[in-house]
Amino acid sequence: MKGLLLKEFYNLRMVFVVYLLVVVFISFIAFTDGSVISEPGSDGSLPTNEEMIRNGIYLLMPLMFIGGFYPGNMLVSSYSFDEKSHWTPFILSVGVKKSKVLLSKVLIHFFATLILLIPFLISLFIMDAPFDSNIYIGLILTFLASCLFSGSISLFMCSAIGSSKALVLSSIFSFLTTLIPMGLILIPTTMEGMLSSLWIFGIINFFVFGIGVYILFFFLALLMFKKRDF
Amino acid sequence: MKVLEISNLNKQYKNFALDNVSFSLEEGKICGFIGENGAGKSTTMKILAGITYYKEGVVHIFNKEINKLTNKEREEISFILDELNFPENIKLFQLEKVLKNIFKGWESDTFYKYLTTFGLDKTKKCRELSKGMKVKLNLSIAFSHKAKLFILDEPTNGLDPIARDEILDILNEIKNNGGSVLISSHIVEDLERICDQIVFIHEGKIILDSSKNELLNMYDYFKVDNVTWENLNKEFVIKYKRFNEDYIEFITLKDKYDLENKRRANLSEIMILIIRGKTL
Repeated sequence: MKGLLLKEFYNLRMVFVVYLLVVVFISFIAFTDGSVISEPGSDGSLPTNEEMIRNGIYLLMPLMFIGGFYPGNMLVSSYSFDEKSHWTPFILSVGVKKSKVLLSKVLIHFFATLILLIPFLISLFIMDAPFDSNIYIGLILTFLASCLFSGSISLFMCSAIGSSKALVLSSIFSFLTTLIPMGLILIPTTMEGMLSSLWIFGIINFFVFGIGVYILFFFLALLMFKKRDF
Repeated sequence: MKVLEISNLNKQYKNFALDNVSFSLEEGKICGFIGENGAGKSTTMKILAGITYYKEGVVHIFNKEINKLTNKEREEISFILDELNFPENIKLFQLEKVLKNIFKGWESDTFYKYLTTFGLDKTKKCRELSKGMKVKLNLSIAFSHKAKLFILDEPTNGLDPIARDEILDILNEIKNNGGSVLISSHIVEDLERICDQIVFIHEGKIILDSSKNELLNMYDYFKVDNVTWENLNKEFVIKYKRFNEDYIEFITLKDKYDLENKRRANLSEIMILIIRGKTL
């Protein structure tokens, strides 16, 4: 596994540099715009917590979309490099198992997702809203769910149809993988007294759309990969 | 001892099939695997590499089924397939670091020794290597994980005569050191030079499996004019082909005719006439 991850590091260095620049840019945007959600309205009244959550989520939505798109994009890039160089037949011929090859891609995706958590956390911090920790937990788990959801679809599509087609389709799917978890977390903001349960929806998002879907698509991707002749 | 044994290997594709492919390779020998484009050489080799599946047949390497080989045994096999390549943007010394963490028995000193021997710059990126250099890189890697069995799919294709000569010398050295080689190539002159055994595949079937010396001593080649052809008792002609307007070429088993220009058929002539020649 160490060798596979080292190969990914060498291959994806430049992709990662661009990725980090995107992270810095988003962090800058989050830093400059994050404070608007708790600003008083035109009549001077402060927004309710529900209104602040909704405003915050709409602000965070582009971040979530990028969180869905970019780590998944790095995963697709990894596949693309391997296809171009015919690395996969070589590494399989020396006895490395297909599950390990796939797992190395998953670990790269996880690493990229964790890096993107940084600007997301900055955004939450800058919003300076009087949320309790349950709400923050719900938002963070939903963000992670969106990233993992998108990555799992990219993983499956790369195994099934190859990286060039997967890149186009996974970009389209990034919208869905953002909207579905986000839609779920908006539910408690529309129902009075439900805000404190936002963390429950975050947990559902994380374990269903994040972990659950990831495990499902990992095994589907592995199935497609194992059936493939090189 | 047989290092490689294939028995009744079958693999079905939409428009092609490997049909009961069977042959073996003895330890310390070089086997040339020849056939025209699309005959099934690469498919067979990919099956040996474990990257293409098969449902029927038995494939044994080192007396074990290929899917039962341990990682240590797998490291004793080197596959140099036509498409095998490495990540384009990584340098050779970086590739060494990757491979060191993949092969348990990896020897870094051996790798760098062969890079020097083959004149490969460790700071070069993989995409900057010529085809000949890539073959040498593959061989450096194979020596560094102590491979005993080398399976090479058309390693000399696209190389200039000097580079081909270098590669063939290396393969001879492998054999002299007790290693075994299965090599496929279109360049039959190369195979004639170094192989002990020739296996000929055509349309997915093995049509010839013989020691090289026996094969080269088995057939006579003739090129005769139209008049001689017309007057010839064609009882012993195995296959014939019109060479041009004025001449016909054909092969027979050895010493069946005593014509003026009789000589033993070389591998290329045997291959062309068996595939493209006509029977009477």
